[in-house]
Amino acid sequence: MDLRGHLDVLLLGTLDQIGPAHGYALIIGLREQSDGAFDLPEGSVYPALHRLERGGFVASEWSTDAPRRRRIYRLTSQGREALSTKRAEWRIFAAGMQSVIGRRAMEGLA
Amino acid sequence: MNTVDAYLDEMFNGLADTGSNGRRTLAETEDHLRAAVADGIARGLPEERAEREAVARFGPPGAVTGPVRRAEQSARLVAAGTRLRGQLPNALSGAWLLAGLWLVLLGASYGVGGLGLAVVHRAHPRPPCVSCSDAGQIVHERGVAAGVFLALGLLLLAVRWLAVRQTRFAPAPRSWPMVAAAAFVLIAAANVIGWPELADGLLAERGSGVEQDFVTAGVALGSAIPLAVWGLVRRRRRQP
Repeated sequence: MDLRGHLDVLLLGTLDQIGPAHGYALIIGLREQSDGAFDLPEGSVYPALHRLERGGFVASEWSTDAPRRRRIYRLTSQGREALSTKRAEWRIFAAGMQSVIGRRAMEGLA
Repeated sequence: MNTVDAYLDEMFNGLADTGSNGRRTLAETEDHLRAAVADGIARGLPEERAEREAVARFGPPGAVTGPVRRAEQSARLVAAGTRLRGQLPNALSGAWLLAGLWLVLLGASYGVGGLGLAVVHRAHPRPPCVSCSDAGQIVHERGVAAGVFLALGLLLLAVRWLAVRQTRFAPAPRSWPMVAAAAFVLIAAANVIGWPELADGLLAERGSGVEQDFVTAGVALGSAIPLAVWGLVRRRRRQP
């Protein structure tokens, strides 16, 4: 599935669901939550996370708990607000799509 | 060399000159790939296959290094823009000061030129050049030009002084005496090697004479020397 344009909000949503996490755990979380629908090139997540951090939507720090140094990402309040706005937009968008495409699809089935 | 190490080497090359962002990306990539390989081995895959799968899932190095490089370039551009924006008021202030000094210099040179012509004309009354017949008129024109340029230059300098004092307008860059000296040397050279129309304006066409260009060049050079000395003294004072 082409995730261009949606990756940022998906990452924010996954961070909101699973809490602070490093990049690998985020990808696993995203894959599991989407039932494998969002199986993206894993490397693309890191530039997206860095971009979100530059925008102030996530914050990160090195963790020394693991055997290797890991960068742990967490949502900021600005990220939470942005996610809340995106969720509201998505609900409107999904309802609109459902009323146009979903109804026709159901009629086709009937 | 195993697959993961070869991949990390390739990524390292792609991240050259990307600073801390590149180092961070490389560290995160290594952590990610090692974790993915460990997961693969835990699922029962042979190590070599687990490495190949981890690298394949991560995607081509360019997909990661490209955005990092672009982000680094834009960060540098933003930093350069910020530096420029910080220095712009000082540069404007310096240009304002330089423009005022240049006008004062032009006024002084026309004053000197007119005075010199008047003295020479009084000692040897004859036309000052082939195309000019009325030396008195030329002296008068030079006097007017001197007054206008001096008044404009002093006005510019006074307004700038007030702006810096009253509104905390940016001071000129510390290097401005050297810049002014260099500009005055250029003005002198331009007057000597043929820039009379631009330097003298309409007065050159109206017969102020070639010698006025040399007077302007002399005054410009004469001003450049103390400015350069001042600039050198300021620079030496700044050094510990």
